[in-house]
Amino acid sequence: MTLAFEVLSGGSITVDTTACPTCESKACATVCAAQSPGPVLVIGDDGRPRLKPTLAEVKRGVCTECLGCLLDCEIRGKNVVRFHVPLPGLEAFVANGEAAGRAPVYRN
Amino acid sequence: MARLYEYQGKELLRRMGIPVPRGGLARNQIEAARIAEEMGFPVAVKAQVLTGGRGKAGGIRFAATTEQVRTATCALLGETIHGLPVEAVLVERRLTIQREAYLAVTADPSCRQPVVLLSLQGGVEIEATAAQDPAPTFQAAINILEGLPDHVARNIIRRTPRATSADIQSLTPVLCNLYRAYRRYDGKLVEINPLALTPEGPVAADARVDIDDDAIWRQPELGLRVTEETGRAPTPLEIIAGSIDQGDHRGTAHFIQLDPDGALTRGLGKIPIAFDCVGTGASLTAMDELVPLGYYPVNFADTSGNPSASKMYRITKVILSQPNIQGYLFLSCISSQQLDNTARGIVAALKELYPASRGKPNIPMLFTFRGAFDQEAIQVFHDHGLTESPWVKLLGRDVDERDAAWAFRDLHQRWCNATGGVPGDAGRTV
Repeated sequence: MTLAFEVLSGGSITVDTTACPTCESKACATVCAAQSPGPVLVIGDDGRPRLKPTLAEVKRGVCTECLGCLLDCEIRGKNVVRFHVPLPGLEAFVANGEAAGRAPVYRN
Repeated sequence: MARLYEYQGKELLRRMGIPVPRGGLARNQIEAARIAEEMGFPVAVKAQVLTGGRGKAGGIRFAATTEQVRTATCALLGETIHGLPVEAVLVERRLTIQREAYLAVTADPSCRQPVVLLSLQGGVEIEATAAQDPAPTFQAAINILEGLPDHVARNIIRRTPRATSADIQSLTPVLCNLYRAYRRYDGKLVEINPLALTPEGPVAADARVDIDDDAIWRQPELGLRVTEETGRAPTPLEIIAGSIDQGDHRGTAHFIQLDPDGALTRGLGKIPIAFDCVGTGASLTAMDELVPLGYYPVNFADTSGNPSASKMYRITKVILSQPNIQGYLFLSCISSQQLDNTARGIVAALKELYPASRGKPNIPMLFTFRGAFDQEAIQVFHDHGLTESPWVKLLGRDVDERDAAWAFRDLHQRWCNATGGVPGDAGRTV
């Protein structure tokens, strides 16, 4: 089961909610509640996160893209949140740099 | 500011009804020869670079035969003019010029209006002419609500020194259309210099068009990409960074490469490092502290105005994709932006770039968080284990830019002593 929504920057967030009912921390909703203008993720009766605003509202910027759900789920929850954000051209730039012997140091 | 190449600017002027010479863009000698033969001789072969003073630098050649076109094109392509490589030439029919004029529309911040600049003693030496004798240059502010109707344009030309009746007749449509181009394309400067006065009428012999950065999204047909104003063509990494602010108004991610190929840093004998700052004032202060210590920030970056964490994540990936860096310094001014979000973006980027070590880098990185939610920002680094890395150091609001620069120096020297100054296996947890 997957919760997926798009955000203002053009990226998207997906949550594989299969394991969420067994998550004790519900870290995603906890960190989201601390963000203005209020929570995007809330916990439903089935123990899984769901969106409080509509998909359109989330895409319009209600989700502030704080990445709290991504990071807190990783260390306190089940590590099931994924964030996809476009950065057109960077992969090709890095690949070209590697081919020319000018790779970023993180590729060592 | 997005500056158009001459051939792009002329196409825009042509669309607005201003006569331009017949011509075409060529990226090799075969294309150049074909264009010249189709038009007929003589022709001008003009290097396409985003800099002024091109003619004096040898960037314009004239040719009367196909062989001369080939020779001129070969000579220009691969040349650098004022440090900018020539990657294309504009081949145009050579004009028979009787006189040269200068015509421009720009914005005057002092009167908060567009202004028209006109000189009938124009040409490539307009700056020198104006400096010696400013009288022939006429300037008129335009009421933006009224625009530039025909009768106003005529009056402007009439009041320009040395204008003849024929000038009023021939230049009026050019001036009106130039103003239309300025408004239609959100120009910051639309300039024809020189406007060649030929037996067939006025022709734009050159064109400089600068588009307002903030309006580029309204001009999709120009195919421009948002990049910072540098006075040179943007680097590939700057173009990538320029996409970050598009479509996301929350905060800014300014990024400029100060030494894209590392030549300057090597020449100065400095150590190249990556750099990001919240606030340009703090950025300049920090750079001033770093350079005497032997470090050279190979980029400028300003991530202020409370950017989203996702914006920080993206710009951090861009900054760290620069080759050969031996460290990274992030520093915020005493900022009102939510620094825990800033920290989340950086941490998310580090964890993605260094997956095997769960974000722990292989070069020294110093982060100085000062301002709103600075303690929470530092806590994010602790929570994700990044402070366990010997090459990550965090500072708070009790330090200034000098302290941060010296702390970075200490960290870098420890790293050099341990690694020999060579970034190790990024997957190794040190």
